[in-house]
Order: sequence, then structure tokens, then C-alpha cells
Amino acid sequence: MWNSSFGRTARLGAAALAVGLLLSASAATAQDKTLVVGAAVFPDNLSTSTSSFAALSLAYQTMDPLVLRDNNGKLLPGLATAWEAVDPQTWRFTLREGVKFHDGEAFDAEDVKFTLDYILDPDTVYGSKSRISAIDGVTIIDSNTVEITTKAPFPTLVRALSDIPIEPQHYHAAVGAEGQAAHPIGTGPFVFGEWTPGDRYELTANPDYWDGAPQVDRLVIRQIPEGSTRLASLLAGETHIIEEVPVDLIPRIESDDNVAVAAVESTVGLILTMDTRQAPFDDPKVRMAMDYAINKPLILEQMLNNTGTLLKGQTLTSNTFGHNPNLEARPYDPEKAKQLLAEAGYPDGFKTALTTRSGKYLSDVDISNAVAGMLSGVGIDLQVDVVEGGVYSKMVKAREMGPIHMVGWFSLGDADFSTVWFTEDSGRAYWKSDEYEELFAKARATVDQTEREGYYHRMMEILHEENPSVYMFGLPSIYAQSAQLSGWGPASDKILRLSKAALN
Amino acid sequence: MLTYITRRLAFVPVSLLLVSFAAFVILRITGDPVQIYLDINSTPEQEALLRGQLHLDEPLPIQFAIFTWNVLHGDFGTSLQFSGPALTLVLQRLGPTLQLVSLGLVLAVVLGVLAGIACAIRRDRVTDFVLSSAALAGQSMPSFWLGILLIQFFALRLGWLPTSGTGSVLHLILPGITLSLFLMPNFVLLTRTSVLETIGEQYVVTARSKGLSGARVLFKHVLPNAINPVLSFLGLQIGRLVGGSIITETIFAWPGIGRLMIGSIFQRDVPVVIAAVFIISFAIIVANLLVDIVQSLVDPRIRLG
Repeated sequence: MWNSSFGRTARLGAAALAVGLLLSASAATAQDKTLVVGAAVFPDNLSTSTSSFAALSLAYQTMDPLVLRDNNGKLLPGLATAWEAVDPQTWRFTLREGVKFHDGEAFDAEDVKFTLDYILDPDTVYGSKSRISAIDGVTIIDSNTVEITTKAPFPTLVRALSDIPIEPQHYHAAVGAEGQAAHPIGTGPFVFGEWTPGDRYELTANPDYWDGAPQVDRLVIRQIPEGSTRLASLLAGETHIIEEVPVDLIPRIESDDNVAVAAVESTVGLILTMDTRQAPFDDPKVRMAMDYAINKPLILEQMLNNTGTLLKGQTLTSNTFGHNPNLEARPYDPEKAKQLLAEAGYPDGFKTALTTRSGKYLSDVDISNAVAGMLSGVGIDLQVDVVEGGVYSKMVKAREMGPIHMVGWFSLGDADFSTVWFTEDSGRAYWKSDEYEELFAKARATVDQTEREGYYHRMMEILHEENPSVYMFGLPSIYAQSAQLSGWGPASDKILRLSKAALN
Repeated sequence: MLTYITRRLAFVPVSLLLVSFAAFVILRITGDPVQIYLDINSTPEQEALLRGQLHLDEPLPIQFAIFTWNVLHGDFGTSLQFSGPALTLVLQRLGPTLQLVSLGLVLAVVLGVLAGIACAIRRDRVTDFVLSSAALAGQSMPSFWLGILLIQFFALRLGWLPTSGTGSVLHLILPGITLSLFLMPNFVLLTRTSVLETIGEQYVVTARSKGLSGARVLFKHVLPNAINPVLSFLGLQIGRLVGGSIITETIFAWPGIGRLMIGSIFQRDVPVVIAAVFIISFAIIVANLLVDIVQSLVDPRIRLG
């Protein structure tokens, strides 16, 4: 017949598959304890200069900052054991003694001065540079003490330093910034092994780590960009921690005893900012009506599966210094919204648009569509415009985001970093208040923390009363972990802290 | 034939120049790499510094002229996000993609053609019905969905294969199958039609009636004549294969050129995108040339030149 030879081909194929399977079974056993993490986003190299959370998360496996942050944003001693403000413009840092870099060289004040001077060099492009650009100079007092002087009182210096990994001067001198990025050396809990862009970062434990040797022998951080594949790798036991769990997959994790969801409130406050330079949002009543018309608790439940929190009528998340505990979110009250619209001269509502990106923030497009549905209930016809990141960046630059845009400002624990976006100089504000500007400038120039906090509390009141934005949610960082894993927790700043993580 | 090949190759630089010009303009006018790259807290001085380093302060035609001049000297520029030469980065990621694409293509062509032949010679019987329906179903199935289904079944339920990533030959199987299933249905349906047309020809009937065996007629008379449309189609599919590879690489966390390119497009990392586009365009042109040559070898009626 015509098809006489097909049977044989099929048998050959089956045999080849069987041989392949046998080969795989023998390769899977290893004695070492290897912790594997499934990351969503990878930086494109190991350079510290990008300063994105993904880059810092990898950098902090091999390097340490002077000041550490814990998973909730609390500051802890790192390479510096103590710090104090000698005067409003001078900070003294006492360095940890006996710390060694991975190549055996000792860490001292020279490395601190070198790192900061290198970042502040006008020719260096470094993401976090502006966080420390108020530094005037770094002076070595002795090998374990440095003094940092600032151009003006600079209360956020200590927190800013928690974003700066200290790099070894002797190694930089030998191999340069490219050499450090290609094969990083630091004082951190893990030692660089191999880096395969887009695939994996392999490290080994640093037995001499100053905070105690890690509980595992090896660490592998894999990039798995697709959310459902990331979850599959956890369920299959290939990974022990996965980042950025898609909200719709949470029920799947909760139904499995071998894995668990680990979520924490991040410091990202997701808000809908209105352009108050133009009608209709130049009228505070319209902005207030927007706030009453959106049922935020319902969106939180439906779109975020109740991970994350409701913002309390202000842009700051409750884990941030400066958060005003006396404020509450406005309740869902469509009747009041309609009444306010009528008072403002829009009894039949109006047509407007919301600019958002897709996938930048958790469930961003879903949240936008839910908002559009709710606003239609009070007569506001909202069109959702989803734009790609590059286009969004052009709109930012032109300061034309459309009537409403969705944005998430992160604070990393201090109000300064996210309140700045409502000031004129930031280039990102669509509303102006002289009192707010004045308070912001005062808070930035005050070292006394109680006094600073007072300024921020008043600023939050202004943001609440004037309502330039509808304050939606404190977004969560959602991870999932294997039941085998202990000694690790989800981080509000999305940085992996693995030095105490253990596999049972 | 040599003249033909030379002439075809002479057009390569023109195609590449046009392709890179299009990519360059689209990337530049739709987004600002400085805004995307720098931290949101960046100062105007920092932006100006980076802008100067990337020649972004020049008008667009001059930027492209500088870029082309550098490319002519073998320098695609330094990647914005990676601190290395763009071409090196792309070449590093080429290996995994070639592995994936060759496996996908071989599986799709070999199995697709075999299934197509089986359909044709068992026309309107159960085999034909099952395989043709499967091909139609496969054609309408999005490959990201198929990939996720394969992971669920083979990696999670059966535990036979790893879910994703690299490390062994086994890691290649699921992405390879996903990519091949993305292309295979077309090969099945096209081969089926083509073989059916040829089987009806007078010379096939003659060969059968003079007593030649079924297999001999198939391989000697039918296939050489039926395979040419399939080969032309293969040339056209190389471009689609690149698109399929981007999706497959993303689902299976495969560190190939497709994912590198997508990431670089989002970052408006022009040097890397163009280096990748260059390599891919070049591969497509060469693949099509090879298809032409193979066709002329299989069918002496086709003369190149």
C-alpha cells in the first residue's frame, strides 16, 4: 500500500524519546542544597548603575550597602554599625570591622569614599545618583569612620544610602566598572558564580559572611517572564520562591498544600491623577465626585483578590514615614457624587479619558476598566486609553498625560520620595498648591524627624482636601513559596533577602 | 547559478539598510530612551549627559547617519541597558534561538509533510479526516495557550519534562514542540493539496498502470513534483518562525534572541534592536536563497539566473 513505511518511522521516534527520558532521570540528583528563585524581571546586566529594583535585588546578593533595609522598609545596620548627625549638614558613620570582600581584601573607609565619589562623578551615569546628589563631600576620619557632609540639611541621606551597594576600590582600580559588572565582587552573603543574560544567575554561599553564612550552599535566580510558567515551575518543585504572582492564579496556589502565597504591602501607592489645569477637573467638586463614584473596596476585592490595601485618602501607604493616620478614604457614595456633579454644573456628567499602561502595575488595565464601569453609573463616560511604555514616557516628558492618568508612586518608606511628585519642580504635577510646596521644601530641609513628620501630615491633609488624585491602593508585592522553605519573607521593596533562607 | 547567487547577495545590504532605517525611525519617534532608562528622580543634568553620549541631541537624519557610519565599521553601538557592544549581545543569544528554531522547523516540516502525504493517499478515509481536522484545530490554536497546556500536562501532571529554562536536551523538547505545532498545520494542509493534485496527473496513472509499486510511484514520481510548492512556502515561513519563536521563548523562559529583541524594543534600546533585526533579516534572506537553490536541484525545470 501507499503508506507501508510509516509504522517503522513511528517506532523509531518512540525509541528516541525513551532514550532521552532515561538520560534525564540520572541527571537530576544533587547533594548540595540549592535554593532556586523564579524572577519575573531581570536586569540586563549586573551593573549597579541601573538602580532598578530588579538590578538592586541581584546586586544585594553579592554586595551590601552601608545601611540595610528589612522587608518592611525598616533601616538596620549594614556595613555601617552606627550613624549620627554631628550637625544638620554632617553625618558620621562608624563602619563594621573585620569585613572582607569575596577576594579576601578587607573592607574599609576607602571603599565607602570611593563608591560615593564614583557615583557623584559628573561623568558617571547612575540611576540613584539624584538620591545622594546633595552630598558635598566624603571625608575619611580613620579606617573605620567616615563623615559625609551635605550641601544643605538632608534628612533622607541615611535612607538613600540603603540603595547604594558598596563596591571594592581595589577591584575597580584593576578591572573598572565593566569588570565589576561582568564579575561582581562585594561583601555580600553570596559569591558570584555565573551569569547568563535572560536565563539565570548562579551563586555560591559566602561562608565568611559577616551576618552568618547562608543556610543553603548554592543560589540560582532564574528569569521566567511568563506568570503561569513561573507558577508551574514552583508547583513542579523546580523553584522555591517565585516573584510577581498574577492575581488570577492565587486560588490555584491556595488549593495546593506544598506551596503558599506570600504577600506584603509595597510602598507603591496607585492613584488616578487628574489634570486640574483644565475643565472639568479644575473644579474641586468634580474631583471629589470622582472619589465618591469609585467603589474602591470592591475593586480591591475583585481585581486584587484583597492582596494590597486601601489608601487612606492620601498618596502614602501606611508603612511609610509621614503617613497621616487621622485620614480616611472617602466612602463609595454615588448619590453624593451625582449631587456634587450637579453643583459643579455637570448634571448629565461628561466625557473624559484615562491613560494607563498595560502590565506596569498589578491588574492596571482591569482596574481602569472597573473604574470606567463605576463612573458610568454617575454619568461620566470614561474612555480607557492603554498606551505602551515608550509612548507613555513621551507623554510624561510633554507633561500631557490626558485628563486622567494612572500612576504608582513608590516611597521606599519615606514620604519625601513620593510627595515630590505633587510639586511643580518635579515636572509630574498636574495641580499646584503654594502651601504644599512650602511644606515640602521645609520638610526636605529639616533633620528633626518629629518636625518633618508634622509637615508631611499637613501635606497629606492638603492632598486629601484638594483631591488632585483619587487615591486607590497600596499595591502588594505578591510572591509564592514552597512549603520546604523557611527564613524568608516577601519584601515591600521587592528585594530578595536570602541570607537566612533555609530548605528543609 | 553562481551569478544568480551573487546578484541576490548584492541586494542584501540594500534590504538591511532599509530595514534598519525603518526600525530606527519607528523606535526614535515613539519613545525617548533617556526617559525610559534613567530613574524617575533623574536630574536635567543627568539626562543631558546621557543624551549627549547617545547623540540624541542631534536631528534624526544626523543620528541615523552617525549610526549607519558606525555600522559600516562593524560597530552597532553600545547597548543602553547592557553595558556591552550590541552585536556581541545579540550573537550570545543567537545560539539558543538557533537550537529552538531548527528543532521546530525540522519537526514541523518532516512531520507536517509526512502527515500531509498520509492524508492525501488515504483521502476521505479516517486518517485523512483525523489529521486534517487536527491540522485545522492546530492552525486556530494560539501558541502561547498551547505552550501553557503542554507545560501543565507534561511537566506538572506527568512530571516527565522540566517546565522551562535551559540546562539539558529535555529542556528543549516542549518549546520545540510548541514552535513546530505553530507551523505544522500549514505544512500538513499544503502537502495534502499538492500531493492530491499530483496523484491525479496522467504520468502517475501511467506509472501505476505499468505495475510500479505504490511506494515507488510515491517517492519517484509524486513527491519530487509535489514538494516544490511546499518548499516555496517554507521560505515564506521563516519570518513567521521568528515571530513564533518570540512567543515560545517568553513562555518557556528560553534565553533567545526573540526575548532580547522584545525587551530592547520596550527599552527603546536602538543598537540592540537593530543588531537583532540585522541578524534576523540576514538569516531570512539566506534561508530563502537556500530554498531557491534546493528547489532548482529538485526540479530541473526551475533555472536560476
